[in-house]
Amino acid sequence: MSAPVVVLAPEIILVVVAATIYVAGAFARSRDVWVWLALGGFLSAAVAMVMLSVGAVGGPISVDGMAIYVRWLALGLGALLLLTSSRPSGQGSTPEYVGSLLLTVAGVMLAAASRELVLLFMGLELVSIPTYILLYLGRRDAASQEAATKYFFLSILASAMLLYGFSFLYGATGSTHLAVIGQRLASPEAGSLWLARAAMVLVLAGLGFKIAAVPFHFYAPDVYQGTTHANAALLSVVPKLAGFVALVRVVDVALEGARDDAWPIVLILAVATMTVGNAMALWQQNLRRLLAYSSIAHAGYMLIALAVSMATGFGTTTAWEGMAALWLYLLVYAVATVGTFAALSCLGRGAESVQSVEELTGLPWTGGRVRPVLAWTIGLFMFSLAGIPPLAGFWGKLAVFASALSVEGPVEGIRGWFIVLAVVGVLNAAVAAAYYLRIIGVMFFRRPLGVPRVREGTGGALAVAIFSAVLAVAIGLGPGIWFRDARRAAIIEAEAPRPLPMAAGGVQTADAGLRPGGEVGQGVGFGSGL
Amino acid sequence: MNAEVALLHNYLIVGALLFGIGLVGFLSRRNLIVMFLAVEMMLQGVSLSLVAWGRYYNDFGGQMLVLFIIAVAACEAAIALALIVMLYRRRNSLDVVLWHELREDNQPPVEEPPLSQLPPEAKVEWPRLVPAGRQPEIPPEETDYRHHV
Repeated sequence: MSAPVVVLAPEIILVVVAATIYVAGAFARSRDVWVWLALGGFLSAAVAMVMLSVGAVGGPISVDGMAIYVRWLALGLGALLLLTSSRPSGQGSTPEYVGSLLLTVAGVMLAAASRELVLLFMGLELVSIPTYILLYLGRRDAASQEAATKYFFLSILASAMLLYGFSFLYGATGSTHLAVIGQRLASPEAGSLWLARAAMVLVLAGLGFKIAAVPFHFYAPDVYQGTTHANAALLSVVPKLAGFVALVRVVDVALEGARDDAWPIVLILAVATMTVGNAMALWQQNLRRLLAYSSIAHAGYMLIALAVSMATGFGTTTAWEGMAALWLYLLVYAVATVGTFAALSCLGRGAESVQSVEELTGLPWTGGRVRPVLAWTIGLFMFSLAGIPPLAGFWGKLAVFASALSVEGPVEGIRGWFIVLAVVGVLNAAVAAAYYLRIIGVMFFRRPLGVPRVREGTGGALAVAIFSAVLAVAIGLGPGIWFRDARRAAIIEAEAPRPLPMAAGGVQTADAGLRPGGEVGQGVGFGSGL
Repeated sequence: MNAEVALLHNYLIVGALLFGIGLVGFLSRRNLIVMFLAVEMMLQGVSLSLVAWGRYYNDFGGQMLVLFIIAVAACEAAIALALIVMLYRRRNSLDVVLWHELREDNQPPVEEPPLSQLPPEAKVEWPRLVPAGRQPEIPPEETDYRHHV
């Protein structure tokens, strides 16, 4: 067994389990079997991650700190999302739903481990394509179909732009390996960087869609509103995880040569994303729409951390702190968001799940055993998302703003820019508290108008809500180990594999004998031939 | 500028044109199938540039990426057709403007009067092929259909 197969064993296990579920699902429609089988798949993938931990393998796959962290995060979130959605409303299609969820998680893990454009593209598409099916399977009404179509069309447009960016990256350097691309762009004979700049803009546009950054965020509120709570939970964490890991790999590390142009763009995106997200969330009545704008705003805070690590240059301490802040923030955001959606998906009115903020009125005082628990967990997640101190969200915001304040870059005036950015971020966090506290106010300080029903078969979602609440408190009270893990995640492998001949592509050196001639790219400065 | 670079330029220009036409088509057309085909055209533009760069550097990486792009585009086409058939069954039209259930609370939906109720000066005659043979029977409700979306 060669090294790449061993490294990719968790992904392979997930894909095999998903394929088994797709095929066997045609013969046995029982729901619980497939949920348990998928959980077993996640568990065996986790065992494979522990057992087969190997060192650097080189080539297109990387097992650096970031890859390990993101793969664990994806596995954990996948298990939580599976339990949240263990009751998809299209009763007949559980095997398809569960299989697509497994494939999505495998896609995130593949994207996290890849250091090569082809593999990265395949990982991102393995996230996107099952997501279209998940959105379609959520419900069967017109709104849900509209949401699935909207997401599908905008997503393929975004991947076309991302791919055009990849083609410019390849054109600027003549290699699809990200480390080789980074090395060649940074080398003195790289010539003009305009191809790299065009690539950076296109890649930011394509991945900005995945993380719902502002000029590309328009789909998010509509799609969240049209689909189920479980699907909204998936959309608010899984594409963000894949998008940020790809942004770090491509824009932060491979395009380091163009970082003087990159960080101002990311800084502006961060300000716009935070401000628009929070301002629009203030007057939303629909719960999922409100949480969609909240997820847009949180993408803005994460972009602050990304801008910090870009501005100070790969390898410096501040860049490292910025990257660690990004991964810590993503973790605390994902815990609170998935928990909120899981708690909301337990509640319903008739056949439908809760839609508007008003339906939560007086929830803790409506009696029953489950409803008060749900109300208290939702309240806790709102406090965590708002960044109130004893909870997880506070440490995420603290890490992000502290990293922005510690920037002292080589460029003149850069410190001032990041102080402004941190101030805008703090003001935004204050604005965001308004709509999070409005939900708490509606729940706790008003008389119950009606009693929302606790839907049947949502035991898994309830367990996820309670587990996430415990985790949010645990991270809040003992942030030390989570900071340590996030710092480990900021270790990124950026060296090119093997000794690198400048003439030929780094990945394909092994089959150089197949090449027709020895004149490969001779004397052509990369991109300077134009 | 030698012949290699000139050749590269030609391919890159055609690739950029395909990408640009596709982008404009996606943004300006209203027919679901035409919008999907516009994105496919953007992907062809990307593939052409990748192959051209691969030829320029004498490297297989670009062509490899193109093969994967074609495979992924085939998957997307399958899902797109399934989605479009489903939408067509519900609304009996491919016009994307008819789908406006999801929007901000205070935004009015886009409503268009049927063609027969438009004032005569608002009617635009779109270019069409010269008719040949016998004129088929056109049911009156068909004449309200917007051919140009």
